[in-house]
Amino acid sequence: MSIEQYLIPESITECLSQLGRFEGRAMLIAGGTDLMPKLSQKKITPIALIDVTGIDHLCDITETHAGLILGAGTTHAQVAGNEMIARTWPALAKACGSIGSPQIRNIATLTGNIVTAMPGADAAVALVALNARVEIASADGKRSTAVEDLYSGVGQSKINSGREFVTAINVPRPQHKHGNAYGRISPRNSFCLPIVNAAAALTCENAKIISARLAMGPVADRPFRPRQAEAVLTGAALDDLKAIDAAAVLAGQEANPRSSCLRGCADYRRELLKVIVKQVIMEAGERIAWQS
Amino acid sequence: MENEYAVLGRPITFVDGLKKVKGQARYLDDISLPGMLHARILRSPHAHARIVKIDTSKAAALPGVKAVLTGKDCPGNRFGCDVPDTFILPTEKVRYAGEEVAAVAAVSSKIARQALDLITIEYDPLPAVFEPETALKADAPLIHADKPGNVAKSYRIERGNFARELARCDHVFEEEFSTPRVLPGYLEPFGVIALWEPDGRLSIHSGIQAAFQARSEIAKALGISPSRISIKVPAIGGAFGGKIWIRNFHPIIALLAKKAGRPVKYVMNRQEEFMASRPRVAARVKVILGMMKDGSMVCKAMQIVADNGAYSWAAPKVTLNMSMRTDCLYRFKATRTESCLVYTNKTPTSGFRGYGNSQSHFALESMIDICSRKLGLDPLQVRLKNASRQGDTTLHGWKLRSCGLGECLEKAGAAIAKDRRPKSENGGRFKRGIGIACMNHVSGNRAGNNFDGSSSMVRFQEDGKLAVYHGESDMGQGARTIFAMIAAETLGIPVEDVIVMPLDTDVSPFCFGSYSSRVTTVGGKAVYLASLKVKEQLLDLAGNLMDVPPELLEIKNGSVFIKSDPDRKLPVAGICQSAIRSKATKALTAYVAYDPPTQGADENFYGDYSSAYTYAAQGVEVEVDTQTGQVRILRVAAAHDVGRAIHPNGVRGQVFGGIAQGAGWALYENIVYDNGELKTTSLRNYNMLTIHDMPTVTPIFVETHDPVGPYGAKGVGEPTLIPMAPAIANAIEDAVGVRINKLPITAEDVFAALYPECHITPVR
Repeated sequence: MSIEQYLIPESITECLSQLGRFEGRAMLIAGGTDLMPKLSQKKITPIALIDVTGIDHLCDITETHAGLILGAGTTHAQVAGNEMIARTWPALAKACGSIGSPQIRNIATLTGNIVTAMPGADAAVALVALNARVEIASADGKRSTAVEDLYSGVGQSKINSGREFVTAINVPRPQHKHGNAYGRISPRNSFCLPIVNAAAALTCENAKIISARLAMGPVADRPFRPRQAEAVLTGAALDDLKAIDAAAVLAGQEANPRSSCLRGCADYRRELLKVIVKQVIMEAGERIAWQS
Repeated sequence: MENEYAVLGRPITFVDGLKKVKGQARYLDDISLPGMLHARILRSPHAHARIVKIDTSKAAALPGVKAVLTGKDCPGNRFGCDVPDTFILPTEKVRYAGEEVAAVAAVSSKIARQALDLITIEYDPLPAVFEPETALKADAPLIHADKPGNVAKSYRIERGNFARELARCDHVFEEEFSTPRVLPGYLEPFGVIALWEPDGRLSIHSGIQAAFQARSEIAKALGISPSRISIKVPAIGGAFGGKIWIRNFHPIIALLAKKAGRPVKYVMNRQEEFMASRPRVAARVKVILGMMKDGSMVCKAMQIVADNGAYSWAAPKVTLNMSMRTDCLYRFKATRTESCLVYTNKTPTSGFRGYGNSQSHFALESMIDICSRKLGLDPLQVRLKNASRQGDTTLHGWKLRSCGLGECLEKAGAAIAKDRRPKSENGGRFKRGIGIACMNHVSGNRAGNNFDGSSSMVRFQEDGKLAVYHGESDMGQGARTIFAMIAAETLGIPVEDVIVMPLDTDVSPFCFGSYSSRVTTVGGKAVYLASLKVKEQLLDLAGNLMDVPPELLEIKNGSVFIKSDPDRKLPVAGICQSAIRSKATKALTAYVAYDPPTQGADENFYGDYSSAYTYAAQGVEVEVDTQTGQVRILRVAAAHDVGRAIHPNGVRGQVFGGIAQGAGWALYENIVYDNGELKTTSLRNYNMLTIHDMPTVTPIFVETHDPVGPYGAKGVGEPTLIPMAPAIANAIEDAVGVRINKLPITAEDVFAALYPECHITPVR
């Protein structure tokens, strides 16, 4: 079986009707950085590709009162280089700047990063910590789902890219004083998969953390939230180093990384998680402190 | 110091640099011949298996397929280097996963790939063995029936009386080191185009480092005479030793082209490069070092077990270098090495920048720091105290006609100790340390009575331009630029007037090849001598034209002039025209076959075997993140005794490249197998150094003006990689007090050593 058609719809409606026509045997393509290797290794065998990059305004980045709206075609390079995002959502900007090489960041989209559903995907880890949601359109209508609820296993997204179309990613604007940060540890300084990565998003009132969201990868079958670590932080003072240390240790314990002959054994990865989780909590906290 | 030369030592642009930058250089895959077919190769999925049956009928019937080749179509000649144990395609059994089993030529690469899927092979899997230590066991499966014990080659070399010297030492130290398989990692995948000419001769286009060696090896494999083959070498996108020797695909594609009656192209894909290219010989090296209290090194012994893989390519020679060269770095009284090269059911290993010398330097140069620290001595001073010096004849009979080892050590040591960053920062999280390692290497390497020289033909053309013909490949290192510079300097003409001709064994003078860091030294010397001869012819003729004795003439800036009356001059172009286009009938051509004045190693490996020995010391400053174990290389001071830097930009390029590749070997790179299954199958999970990991580099040239090399020059290609790994290991110990005896030194290894209480056991 080979690809018989390559379609370039100009609107979401047209795209959805094309998806419908192929009854699940067509796949959407944007940057193609994950799709192309899978196609060439015959891991997937669609009969048509629908290229969404011809749809107007798909790469728009919009800041509203409610937060950030990223068009489904937004690339990593766009986000990494956006000053407004770097001000309010530095975790996202940094995560997007950590992936691959400049060439890959120039074409790889955040939507792809989510739909590919890899547990260590840098942008997705940041988006989970930031409580982002995606808007999904299909023949049946529209729905909005939290990024963290889109995973059904390693590499398995609940988004059916043979039938559904992500129209936007929404990152909510934090309601209180807020800080977020992202970090990763990788064998070399660029163009490299992470051994571990983590993101933290904290909100604060009267120097007390009132909510904490942490996400880490690749330590589970999805970007993973260590709920016990989050609970320890919630209610703690912003400068409570004991609580931060306790949260970092808990995060390491809650994680379930794999032992890998390429990326380190599980025990080492847990040790690194302590370091990186503490680092992102501290950085997020510092950002809040600056706002005071 | 003022540069007395018009061309040498000047910032000349690489002669092919602009073409490469503009994308105009022609690499193998840019070449397309009329009627050319594309080949793909079917490779064994088994590490060790008997071939029961091969059925190619469906593949042959696929429209577009023009030829299918299996072992039964090939002559059964064995070929290979020191230990010829290789067949073109196997008929009885496969010995590693990735071994070539069948090949298809078709009108497109896609059809050829589809045809591979239609070939059915019935295998009977055999027990396989993946580690040399296991392969040496008495009950291990035998990989080659005629190689008992799975031993491909073993050496025992002793100089002086090791046992007696050891007995008088104040201290005896023993350590074991290991180095992994790593890929040469060149940018351009290896490949070939083969074409049988109407006169029955075979034309081979291939970006190979040693064209004349390729010609004789392909001839051996096919059972034909070498002069029936012509090897044409296009631009090469990096080689690093991985493209010195032919691969099985060279004769395979030649036979496919014969069967199909059309030209056939084959270029490896990156996955094949990982699966079936020729990695560095992995080795375990045990070192015993005998020392006196004052830091004198008395004697050294090594026991080496090296991984040959399934067939022998350069690994026997690599293991020999590993067994010998470090014995000549210091003034040992006695040395002894016992080494064993072992067959395993993995991809054959071979030569890669350093050619064995890098592995043993990691061991010895780590060892010296370990022992010096135990004795409370400064490792740099211990090195200086024991370093070989100019005028020495070493234990293996090397005559050190030039040797700047001491100066390299002093300069690199001083440079790295200067401007150090704080030893500790961020509350002690980041610790910094410095380390140094030195090395010796060769510029060429004569075995027995073999030729170890180079040849060149230099020919003026009627317009005064000079054609230089050469048989040594330029794989990006800048050989063509060096040849042009030496010819231009010697003949007093601008570099732009020199054309270095493409390499074609039908036309190019006989050469041994671009390896052993020998090209500038012996290849450059051949150009120098041929240029001198042509200069003599030119001045003779100019003397006639100007009516003065030729000894009163000199050439500069493209004109011949009278030394005592520089205003009386004739342009070289004019003289060339009257030489070639007149009854004067001068050839203005010289062919020189040069062989350096060395005796070569005897059957006991004793003897002065290299035209020039090279020395270097590299100082490194590292930063260790004590919370993660990550090592960052901050600075490198690289002092190299290059004899004379003919092309300083080229030398700097070698220094930067060798440091990048050496640091990658030290910290990141590793071909990983999990119970025989290759895990590093692409650049996705095989980490080479990137620009973001590159330290600040200070190159330091030590110019000792070797008496043999052209204008005093020696080699530098391999030396820049060799000291990196031990210098990094030494700097890590200086920073955090942790010693790692294996490569690569991963962050996980450093972390595990820093925190033994965490019981981290790296998976490997």
